[in-house]
Amino acid sequence: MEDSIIIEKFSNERTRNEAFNLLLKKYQQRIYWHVRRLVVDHDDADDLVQDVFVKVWKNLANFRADAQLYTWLYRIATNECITFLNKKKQRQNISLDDDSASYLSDTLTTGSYFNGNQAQLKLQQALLTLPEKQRLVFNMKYFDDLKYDEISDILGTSVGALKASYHLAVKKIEQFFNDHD
Amino acid sequence: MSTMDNKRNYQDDLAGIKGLPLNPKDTPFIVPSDYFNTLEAKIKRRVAIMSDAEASFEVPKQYFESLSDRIFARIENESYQNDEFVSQEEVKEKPFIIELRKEVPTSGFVAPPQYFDVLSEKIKAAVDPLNLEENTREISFPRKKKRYMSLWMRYAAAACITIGLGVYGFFQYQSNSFERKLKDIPENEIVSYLQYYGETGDAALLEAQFDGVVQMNQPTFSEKDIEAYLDYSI
Repeated sequence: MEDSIIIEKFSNERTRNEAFNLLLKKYQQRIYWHVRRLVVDHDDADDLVQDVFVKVWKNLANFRADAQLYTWLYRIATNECITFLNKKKQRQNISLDDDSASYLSDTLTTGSYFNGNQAQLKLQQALLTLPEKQRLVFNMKYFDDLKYDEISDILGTSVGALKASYHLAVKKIEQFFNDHD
Repeated sequence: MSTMDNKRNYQDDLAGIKGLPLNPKDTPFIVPSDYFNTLEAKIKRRVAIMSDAEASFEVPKQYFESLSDRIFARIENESYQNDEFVSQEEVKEKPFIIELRKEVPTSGFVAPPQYFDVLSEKIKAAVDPLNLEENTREISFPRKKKRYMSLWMRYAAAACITIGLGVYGFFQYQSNSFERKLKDIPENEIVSYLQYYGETGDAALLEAQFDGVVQMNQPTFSEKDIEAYLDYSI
């Protein structure tokens, strides 16, 4: 189902629920995995995905058709995640200047619903040492296969800066793998 | 007048400072001897040199017309080279990423079984109150009027309750005020007062009110005392 059709159906009150069902069917998994990779814990991801789609329900009628629907969804999800992670940092008395997500390491190892092998665990541990922006860009490029232009639309960052972030992330991950052989 | 005086005073003060010129407008800077005599000649020489230089350099025909095009071409070329450089950097990193993709194709996170089957329902349930809210808004009375009415009724109800409580409190206070005054007087004083000024039947009332404090029925004199008194008196 084309995004434009979903948006059109949503604009009509009679077909609004149908459009929302189609939207959920199409995007709920993508958004869940994007959120999950950022916040690590399943329960947190579950809450956030619901929050994201509630926001989508409230604001989709005002959505500008000139933007891509999925980049808009990703943007809402990313903003929700960043807000959530900042609050989590504050709750754990971690300075907001500390840019890495190392405080999520415990969640990775002790939390349920991680069924990865040793290499997958190592990659996730490496990712948690990265600054938030680099982790975000790497996840979207590596796991979601998004293009720089698309990531640029989502994050509102220039393609050049994204390339630099990805390049640095790859370098640090490689270094992490070399150090933890 | 006063301004003049102030100025004079200011200058007098400065005059008292050692080494300061008498006229404050005199600067302490000096120039080489004959500087101003030779300055004009120097400037003319510089102008002549610059004119000679301009006359000696030539640019190709229509140089300036094509300059902007050539600058843009150069910028484009350099951007392309930069892109190539970035691509080369990526190619350089790629073997690691290619290997990593083979070894780690997915994140390793899993969702609970049948999670996505119930996720839609959860989201719809979360959205439902919003949906209802929107529908209610469409069929409701004009919001402003409804809010005004309910506010008016609230004020009226609050006023009724306040008046009711006030009246009840006033009568309660009135009925309790005598007892409250009595409470402030020590019991012994009340008893002794009533012993002197009491009437028939007060004793029983006092005994009931101040149980254990006084026992009015108890005889004050024993029978022997009374007999002895009568023997002595008669």
